[in-house]
Amino acid sequence: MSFIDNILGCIGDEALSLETGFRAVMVGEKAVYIEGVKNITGFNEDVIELLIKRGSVKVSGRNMFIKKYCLGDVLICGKIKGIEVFKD
Amino acid sequence: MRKNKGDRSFQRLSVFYTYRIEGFNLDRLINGLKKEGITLYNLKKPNINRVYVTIKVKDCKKLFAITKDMCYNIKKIKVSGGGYPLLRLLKTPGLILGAVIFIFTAVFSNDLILNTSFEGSGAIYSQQVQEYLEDMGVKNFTRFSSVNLKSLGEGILASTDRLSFATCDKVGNTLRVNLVLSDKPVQSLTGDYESLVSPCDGEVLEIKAYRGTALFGVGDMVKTGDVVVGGYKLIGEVTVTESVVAVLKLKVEDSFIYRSKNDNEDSLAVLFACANIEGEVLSHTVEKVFEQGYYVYNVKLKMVKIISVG
Repeated sequence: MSFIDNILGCIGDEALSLETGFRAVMVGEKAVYIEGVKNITGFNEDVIELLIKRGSVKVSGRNMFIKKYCLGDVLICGKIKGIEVFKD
Repeated sequence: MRKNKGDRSFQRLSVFYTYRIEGFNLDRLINGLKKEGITLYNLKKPNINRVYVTIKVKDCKKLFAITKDMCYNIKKIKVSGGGYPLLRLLKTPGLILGAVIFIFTAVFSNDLILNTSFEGSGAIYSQQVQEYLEDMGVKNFTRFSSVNLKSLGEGILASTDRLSFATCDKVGNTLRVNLVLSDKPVQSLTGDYESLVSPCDGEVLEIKAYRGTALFGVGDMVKTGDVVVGGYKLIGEVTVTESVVAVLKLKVEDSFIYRSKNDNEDSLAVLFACANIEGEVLSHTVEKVFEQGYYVYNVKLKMVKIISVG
């Protein structure tokens, strides 16, 4: 169980059964860590689009790069301006 | 992606290669690499046809296997990671072997005694001191680290009364022994002795003939009056007469009678016997009989007797 699950456990069981199956942690404007990513559908320094379960996530900013990408986890660094979630 | 301290330490020891990949459909390649279990670091995409990616060195083979039949230009541009120096070393076994040999030589060769030098006014007794050192197990190829140099110097001083000062120190691979003669006058040699004759029966423990010829060896039994060291020397086929300078150590037995009206005075009898001899007592036995109102203690001593001439 990831450490986020421990935190969400406090919120309740509803939070754990997410439809889109992703979780994001933002660290100021510098970084965002996203779990539950299936694929990267678009990638450049200004926009990164990620495919998630039943939807997609769009991260916008400047001079962005992917610090680490493995299995279903992505760590994006740079100047993050916003995150948008699109449901299918 | 939460990692513990051990994983972070291991990361620091890993080696990473950074590649520049040029081609089309790079997003698909990135997803393909991730799908094959390759962890991608520092993905940067400055333009649509170029991406920079860093992967662990162990994943490099996978990368090239995946992109083998694809039209991508892949160029390695950087090597990084705390383990990189180790990786370079592993690729150059000669360097590792040379380093090991150097370390071994530096540590161990400097620790070996390869030579002994004697300095000071007492250096004339170097031969005796050398014999003492060998008795103490200090000779060529002995390790300095197994020798207490201070104790060795004190032992040299205690082994002879001809010296007033003795120190040992290490100079490179040389054991330097500094000796100073004692101010006490040394008995001069008379040069009058024609031979060394055994004054009693015994077993030869040690025989040193500085001048003259030893006629018995260690372990031999000698009787009273036996010439143990003869006053001559053979030079080739010629016999040359010379005075004898020699030291003989014999193991001898002697007995003493102690009478007392009291019983249980065995220890006292031994004490009186030892007080009447010169030399080191090796062992003793006591036989007791009662005669004419007295306890007669017959003490038999085995001792070392030293006879020297010259």
